[in-house]
Amino acid sequence: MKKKKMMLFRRKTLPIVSIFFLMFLFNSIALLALDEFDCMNIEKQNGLQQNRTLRGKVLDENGNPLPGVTITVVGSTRGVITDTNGNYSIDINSEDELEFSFIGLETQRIKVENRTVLYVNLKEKIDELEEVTIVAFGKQKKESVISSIQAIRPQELRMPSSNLTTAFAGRMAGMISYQTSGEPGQDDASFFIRGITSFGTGKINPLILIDNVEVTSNDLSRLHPDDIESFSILKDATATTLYGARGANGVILVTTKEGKEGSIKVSVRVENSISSPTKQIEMADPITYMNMANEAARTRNALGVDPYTQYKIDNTKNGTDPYAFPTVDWMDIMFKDVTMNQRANINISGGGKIARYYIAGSVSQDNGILNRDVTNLFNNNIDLKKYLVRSNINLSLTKTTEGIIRVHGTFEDYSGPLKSGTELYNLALNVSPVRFPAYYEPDKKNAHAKHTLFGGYDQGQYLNPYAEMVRGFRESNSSTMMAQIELKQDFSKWIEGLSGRVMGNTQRYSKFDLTRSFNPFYYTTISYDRRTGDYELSQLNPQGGTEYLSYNEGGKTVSSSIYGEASILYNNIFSELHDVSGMLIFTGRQSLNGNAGSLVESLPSRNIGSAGRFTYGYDSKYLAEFNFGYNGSEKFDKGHRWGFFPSFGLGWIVSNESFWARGISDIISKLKIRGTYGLVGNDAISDQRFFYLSQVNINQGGNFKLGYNFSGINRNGTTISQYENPLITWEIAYKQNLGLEVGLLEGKIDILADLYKEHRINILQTRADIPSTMGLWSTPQANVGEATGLGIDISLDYNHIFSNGLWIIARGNYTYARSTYEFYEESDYARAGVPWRSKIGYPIAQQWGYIVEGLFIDDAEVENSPRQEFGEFAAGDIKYKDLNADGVINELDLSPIGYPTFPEINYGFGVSTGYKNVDFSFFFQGSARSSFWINAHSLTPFIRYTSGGQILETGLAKFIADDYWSELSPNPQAKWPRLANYRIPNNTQRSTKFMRDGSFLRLKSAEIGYSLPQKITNNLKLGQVRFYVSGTNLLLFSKFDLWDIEMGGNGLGYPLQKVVNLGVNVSF
Amino acid sequence: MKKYFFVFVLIVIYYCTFFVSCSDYLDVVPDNIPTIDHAFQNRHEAEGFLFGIFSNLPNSSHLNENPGLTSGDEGWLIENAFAFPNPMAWRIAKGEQNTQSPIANYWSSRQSGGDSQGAHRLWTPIRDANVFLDNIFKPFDLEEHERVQWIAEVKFIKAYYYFWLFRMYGPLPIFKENIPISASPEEVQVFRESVEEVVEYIVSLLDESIPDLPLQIMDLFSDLGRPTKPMALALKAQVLTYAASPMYNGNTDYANFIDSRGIILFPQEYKPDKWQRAADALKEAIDIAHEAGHELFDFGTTSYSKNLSESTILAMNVRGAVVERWNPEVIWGDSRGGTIVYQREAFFGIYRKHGTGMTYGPPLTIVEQFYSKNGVPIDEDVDWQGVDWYGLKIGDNAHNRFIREGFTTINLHFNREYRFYGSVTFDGGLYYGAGKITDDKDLHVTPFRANLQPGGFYTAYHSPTGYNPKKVVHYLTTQSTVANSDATYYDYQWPIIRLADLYLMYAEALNETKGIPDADVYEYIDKVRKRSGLDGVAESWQNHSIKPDKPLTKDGMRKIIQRERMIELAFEGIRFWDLRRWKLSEEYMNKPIRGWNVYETDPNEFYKVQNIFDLKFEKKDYLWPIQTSELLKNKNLIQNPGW
Repeated sequence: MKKKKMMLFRRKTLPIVSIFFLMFLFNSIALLALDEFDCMNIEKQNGLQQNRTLRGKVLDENGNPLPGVTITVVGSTRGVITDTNGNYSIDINSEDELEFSFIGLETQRIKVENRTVLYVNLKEKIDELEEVTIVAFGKQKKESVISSIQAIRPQELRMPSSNLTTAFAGRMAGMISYQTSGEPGQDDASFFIRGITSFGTGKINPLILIDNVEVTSNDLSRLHPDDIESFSILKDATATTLYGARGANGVILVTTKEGKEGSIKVSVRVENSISSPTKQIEMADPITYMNMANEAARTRNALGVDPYTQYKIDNTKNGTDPYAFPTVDWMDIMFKDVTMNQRANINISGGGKIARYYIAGSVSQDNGILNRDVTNLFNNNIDLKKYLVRSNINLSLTKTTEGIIRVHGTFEDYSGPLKSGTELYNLALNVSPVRFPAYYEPDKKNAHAKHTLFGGYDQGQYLNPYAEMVRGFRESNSSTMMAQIELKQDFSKWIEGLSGRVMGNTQRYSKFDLTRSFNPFYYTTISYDRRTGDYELSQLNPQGGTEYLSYNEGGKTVSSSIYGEASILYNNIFSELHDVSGMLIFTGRQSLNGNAGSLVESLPSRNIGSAGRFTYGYDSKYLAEFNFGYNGSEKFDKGHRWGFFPSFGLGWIVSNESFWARGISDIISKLKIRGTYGLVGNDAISDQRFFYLSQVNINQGGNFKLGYNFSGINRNGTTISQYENPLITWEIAYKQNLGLEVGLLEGKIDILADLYKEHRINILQTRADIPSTMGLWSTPQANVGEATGLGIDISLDYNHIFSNGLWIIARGNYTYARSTYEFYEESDYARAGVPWRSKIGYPIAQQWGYIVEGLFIDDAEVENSPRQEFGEFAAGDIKYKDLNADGVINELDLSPIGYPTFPEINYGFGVSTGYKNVDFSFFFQGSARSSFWINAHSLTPFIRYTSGGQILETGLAKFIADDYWSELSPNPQAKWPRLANYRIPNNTQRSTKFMRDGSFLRLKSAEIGYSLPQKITNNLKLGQVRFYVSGTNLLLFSKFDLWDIEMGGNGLGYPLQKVVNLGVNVSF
Repeated sequence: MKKYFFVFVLIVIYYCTFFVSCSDYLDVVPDNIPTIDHAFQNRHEAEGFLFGIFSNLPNSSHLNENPGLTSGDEGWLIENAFAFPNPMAWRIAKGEQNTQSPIANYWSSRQSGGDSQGAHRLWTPIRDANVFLDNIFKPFDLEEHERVQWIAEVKFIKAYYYFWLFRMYGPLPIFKENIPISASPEEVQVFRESVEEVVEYIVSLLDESIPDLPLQIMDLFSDLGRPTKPMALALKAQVLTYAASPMYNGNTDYANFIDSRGIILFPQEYKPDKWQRAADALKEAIDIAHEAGHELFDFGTTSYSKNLSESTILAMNVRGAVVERWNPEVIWGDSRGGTIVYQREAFFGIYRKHGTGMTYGPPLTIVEQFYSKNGVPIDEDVDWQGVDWYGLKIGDNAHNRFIREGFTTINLHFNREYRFYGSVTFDGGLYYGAGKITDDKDLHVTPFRANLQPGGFYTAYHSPTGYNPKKVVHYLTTQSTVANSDATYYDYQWPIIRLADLYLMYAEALNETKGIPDADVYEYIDKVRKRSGLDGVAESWQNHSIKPDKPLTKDGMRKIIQRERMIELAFEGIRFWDLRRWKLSEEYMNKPIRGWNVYETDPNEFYKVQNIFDLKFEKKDYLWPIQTSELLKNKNLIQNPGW
C-alpha cells in the first residue's frame, strides 16, 4: 500500500484512452468491411449492358420544373443532371433503379421496369423533429415514448433577456423555477425538476446536457434560444436512469441546431430593450428618520442622548442649506430609473450532400442601473458583454458515415463596480440620509481640486456608498470553449437497423478579474453663510485619499473537462408488428480544477458508466421498455463505487386499438397510458470528496509553545476535518410515474398529464445524535436521510388555424411538487416533549420558527411572561409563544411555520395568435405555496456598525416608519417592534412576525409582432422581416408590496427588471 | 446469424475492456494522504499532536476565556469599548446566561467559528488525549524516557481539562477510553458521574502522572511551561480543596439532583476528612514546590529595585509575583504568554488612544476590600473609625510615595496596605512603570476624572468605575507618546497556580480540620502577609481591629483567610471560582456594581457613588447550563438544577 504511490496519476489515464482507441479501431474495421460490400455489388452490376434510353422530367410539388437534380443509377457510378427545364435522359436497362436527389428535397428511388418516359415529383423534406422525441443518448419516435419527457419549442424560451434561465418559470410542466436578482451576470434563475427531493448539502439541480455534454447551469443560461434545436426535460426514472448516478434530480437535454441540406439561410435578429426595476423598497423621509432615530436612542435608555438636535431637524425641514443640513436620497443618487440593453445575433445555415453547416454568432450588452460620476473617466456601471460563437458542421464522410464537428465559445467581458450591484443596494440602505451629502460642489478653497469632494463625517471613516460605487471598477473576462467530434456509422447494409456512434468532447473554462480604484477624499462643511450661501469645506482624510488609481489583481479560475461516449444502436421492425430496439452506451468523464486549493480537491473528478435501453413495441399499441445505467464514481470507497440503476416502463396506446376507431376517435384522437418505475442515483451528495478517507490536518491545529521568552519549542497540533467512512455512497431515488396523453379534436388539443411519486434514500446527513462529549473534531455524516416526492405535472396545448388564416396557439401548464422528509436523523423530540421540532413529514424547505403572540404591551407583561433566551427584551418587543410551557422560550419552542421557501406550485399560461401579418402573444406565470421572511436583521434601522473598517448606519424603510411600536402608541400588533439603536436579537428571530406568503401571478411576457408582406420582402429579396415589441415582468399581482415578491427575503438586493424591448428579425 | 454473433462478441469485448480498465480509472486518490497514523509516525509529528492537546488550555488571563475575570464582581467593563468590545463572558455577569446558546460554553461550542465566543469545547482535547495515549507507542524514533514523560504530561493536562469542566458543570461523564466513532447511538449517550467520582478520576490521573514528571525544568529557554511534579501536585491539592469545600461537600441544595439511574450526583453528607486529605495534599505540594526552588517573590531581588524605596518594593511584591517573568513563585505559568488583551484593558492610558483600552475597572467593593495599612479591614480598623471613606482629601507629603502631592482625592485612597497600592490604579495615584521605573518621585500620576486625563476623555476608552487593576500590567509595558500608535506590551507567563495560592489554601484547609485555629493555621497566611509588609494575623487584629478575637475562632479565621485570598489573588480570576466553592456567590454577587461618576471632572461630582449595575446571582448560577441541544442528543444527560 505504501510504496507504489507515485505511479498513480500516469497509470489512471490510460484506460479511457484505450477505450476510445478501441472504439475508433472498431469503427475503422467496420468501415473497411462495408466498403467491401459496396465494391462487390458494383462489380456484379457492371457485368450488365445498358440497352435503352429513358427520358423524363423532374418537377417540384407545385409542378415547376427542377433544374440540377442528380439522377444516378443505384449501385453504379453512372448519373446525369437535369437541364434548366428539368429534363433528363439516361441510358438504362430494365433491372435498374434510379435515385433522384436534390438539395432540400426528399430523395426518391424508382425502379425503371419497362418505362421509357418517367416524370418525377420531388417533395420537400419533412422536418423529422415533429415525429421524434429527444431521449437520453438518442431519439425515439414520439408515439412510442413511455417515459415522462416534456419538450418545449425553443421559440417559447425567447425573451428579451440575455439569460436563458430567466425564461423557464412557468413554461414547462414539471419544472419549478424562480429568479431572485436582476443584476446582469447574477440573474440566473433557480430551477428544479419536480422540486427538490434531497436535503443533503449536495447537488439538487438537474443534470444539464447540451449536445450530450454535461454543463453547468451557467453554461445553459448563456445559450442563445435561436441556436436551440430541441429543449426537453427528462423527469421520470425511465427517462433518466441511463444517466445512472447523475440523473436523480432530473435531466435537461438540449440539442443545438444543425445545418440542413438546402440553400444558404441567414437569420438576423436585433433587439434593443429598456430595462427598469419592477419595484424598489421605499425609504422614509429624512425628517422622520431623524425623529425616529432620536426616539430609538431614548426609548430603551432614559439617559440616551439624541443623535439629532431639534435645531438640525428644524433646519433640515426648512431646507436651510443643502450642505450644512443635507438630505440625501441615496437610492436616487446611486441608481438610474432605466437602462438600455442591446442584443444581436445572426445564424447561417445550409449545405449540400457532403457537408451541412450551422454557424451562429451573437452579441449582447447588458447595462446596470448604476449612475456614474461625471469626473471619472472610467465607467463604474455594470456593463456585461457576451459573445457567443457556435459552429456545427455535419459531414457525410461516406454514404453511411456522418461526422459532426461542433465548436462553441462563450466569452464574457464584464466591467462594473468594485462591489456587486446587490452589495451596493445594501450599502444604499446602510447609510444615514442626513449625515453628509454624497458629494460637494467645490468651495473656493477647493475650486481646483481634481477629485470629487465626497461627503464624509468624523475622520472620514463613515461609509459613503456613492463614493464606494464610483471609486473604481472591476473587470473580469471569462471564456468557455467547447469542441466536440462525433462520428455516426450506419451498419444497415450489414445488419438492418444497426448503427454506431462515438463522440468526444472537451471544455475549457478560464476567468480572471482585476480591479482599479482610488481612495476617495472625504469632506465636511465647517462653516456656511446663511445669507450668501457660501460654505467652507474641510478635508477629513488628507492622508487617506489618493488622486490616482491603484491596481489589484483578482482571482483566476481555470478548469477543464473531457468527455467521451461510444454507443451502438439497433432498431428494426419485424413482420410490421414487432418494433425492437436496443442501445448500449459507454461514457467517461473527467474534470479538473486549476484552483483546487488542496491536494484532495486537485485530484480529477471522474465518472464512468455504461447504459442501455431496450424497447419493444407491438403493433404500435403495446410498448415496453427496459433501461439501465451502470455507474462508477471516484468519490466512494471501492466497495461502494459501482451502482446499477434499472428501470422499466409499459405503455398502451389505446387509440390505436381497432375498437377505438368507431366514432370516439373524432373526439379523442389520441389516448396513451403509460407507467414507469425505476432507480436513479445522485453521486454529487456533497462538496466534500472522498468520504471513505479521513482528512487529517497535521501541523494545522492549535499552537502551543514553551520557553522563558515564549520562543522555545513551538508546535501546531493536529485537527481532523473528516473521519473516514467507507460506507458512504450515493443517493438512490425510487421513482414511479403514471402518465396520460390525450389528443382531442383531431389533435387540436393535446393534454399531457403525469402523476409521480419518488422515494429518495441514502441522503447524506450529518449525524444528529452525537453529543459533544464524544469530543469529535467534526461530526460524521452518513447516508441515513430519506425523502419522498409527490406531484403532478399537466400541460395543455391548443393549436388551431382558422380557414381565414387566423391562427391561435394556447398553452397552459401546471406543476405541483411536494417533497417531504421521510426520515431525518434528529434528536428524539417526542421524548423531549417537543414533537413539533421533528422534521419528519414536513416539506424539505419547511422553516422552523417561533410563533409570535404580538408585542409586549408593557413591562408588567414582560415580567409575567416566560423568559425569552435571546438577550434583552422589553415592552414593545416581540413576544413568542411558549409551546412546551416550560417557562422559557428557546429552541424547544421552534415549530414549523409557513410554507416551504421554494414554491410547491408553478404554473403558466399564455396565448399566441396571429392574423395575416400581425401576431400577438402574452404569457402569465405564477407560483404558489411558498413563504419567505423579511430580513429583519438587515432592515433594523439606526444600527451603527463597522464593516471593512468603515462605519455604516442602517437606514429606515418607509413601512417601518409607517407602523411601529412606540411608547406613545403601544400597538401590540404594530408591524415593527420597539425601536433601538443597537441590535435586539430577540426581535430578529425567525418567526411568524416577518413571514410572508410568496404566491404571485405575473404577466411574464407579452409581444406584438408585424411581418412585412411577402410582396415587399420579395422585392427586397428577403425571406421574412418581422418587427416586434415585447416586454417582460410587465404586471405583478401579489399581496406583498414592499418589493418584487419573487426576490423573496432578498428584497434589499438588485431588483428584478421590467423590460420593454424593440426587435427586428430578418431572414433570407 | 454469423453477423449477430460478431456483434455479440464485440459487445463482450466492450464490456471486458470497460470493467478491466475502469476500476483503476476511478482510483484517483494517492495512497499517502494524511491519516491519523501519520500524526504518530515519528517523534516530530507526535510532539505536534501533544502540543495540539495543550493548545486547548484556556487562557486564564483572557477576558473572554476565563469567566473568573469578567463574569463575576471583580471587574466591570464599558459597552462598546474600542479595542476589545463587550467580551462574551461579561454577558454572564449582566444576566444573559441561557440554555439556548450558553456563554463560555466549554461543553459544546464548536472548536472554532461563530458560536465559539472565546470558549471551545474541552471534550475534544480530552478525546485527543486518549488518542495520544493509544498511539504514542508508534513513533519509531521516540525514546523511552521521553515517551514516559509525554504520557505523564498528557495525563496532567487531561486532568486539568476535567478540573476546568468540573469547576463549571460539577458532575461529568468520564472517558477513561474513547468511545469509537462507529459506536451505536445508545453507546454514545453517556451519563454524568457524581462529583466524588469525577474528583477521584482527576486525582487518579494526576497520581499516575506525578512519578514521571520532572521536579523542575532544566532547559529554561526551550522547555519552561512543561508540566512538572510541583504543578501536578498543586493541581491535585487544588482539586481536593475544591472537593472539601462547601459547594461540593455535603451541599444539600443539590439533594434532588439525581439522574435516571438513581445516582445522587452531589455528595449529601459533609465529610470533614476531605479537608484533611486536602491539607495533606497541600502540604505535599508545598514541600515539593520548595524542593524545586519555588518561593514567594521579592521585588527587592530584581535589578530594578536598586533605586526604589522600601515602600515601593513592598507594593511591587504582589504585582511582581504575577507579572515578573517566571518568578520563583509561579508554579504553573502559561508559556504562551497572551496577557496582552488583559493588560491593554487594565492599563491606565497615560495618553489616551495610544493603544490602551483602560476599560476593565474594579468596582468600589473590591477597592474597599483591601486592608488598611495595619493589615485589617478598614471597617474594623480602630484608626478608621469615624473616617469618611469618600471624603475629599488632598495628597500630602506624608503619602507622596503613592499619591501625587496636591492632588485632590479621597480618604479611601490613603493609609491602605501595600497590596492596595500594588494592585489598584486610582484617581490621583502614582504609577510605577509605563516608562518610569527608576525614580519613584517622578512617577506618572493617574487622574481618572474626565478632563484631567492626559489626551482627553474618550467614550470608548475609559474605566467604568474610576479604577484599573494595576497588578496585572507589567511594569515594563509602555505607551508611545505618538498618537494612534500602539503601546508596547511586555508579555509575561500568566500564573495559573502560584505559591501564595497554595499557602492560603493550606491555611484554609488546616483551619477547617482544627477545632480552633493554632499556629499551624497562622503560619502560612502570615508568610503571605509578611511578604507585603503586614504583621501576622493574630498580631494585626489584636493591635488594630475592633474585633481583636476574630482570628481566635474557626469561623473568624475562615473569614480572614477568605478575605486574605480575595486580596492577595485579586484580579487573577480566582475570586469568582472561590466564591462558588465557598457557596458565597449569592452573598457577594447580589450587590450592585459601584463606581465613581467617571464623566465628571470636578472632584465633588466625580466622587459620587454610582450604581452601575445591579448584579443578580441565583442558586442556578452556581453551575453552568448545558446547551439544550446536547440534552436532546443524549437522553442520559441531565441538566444542571434550575436551568
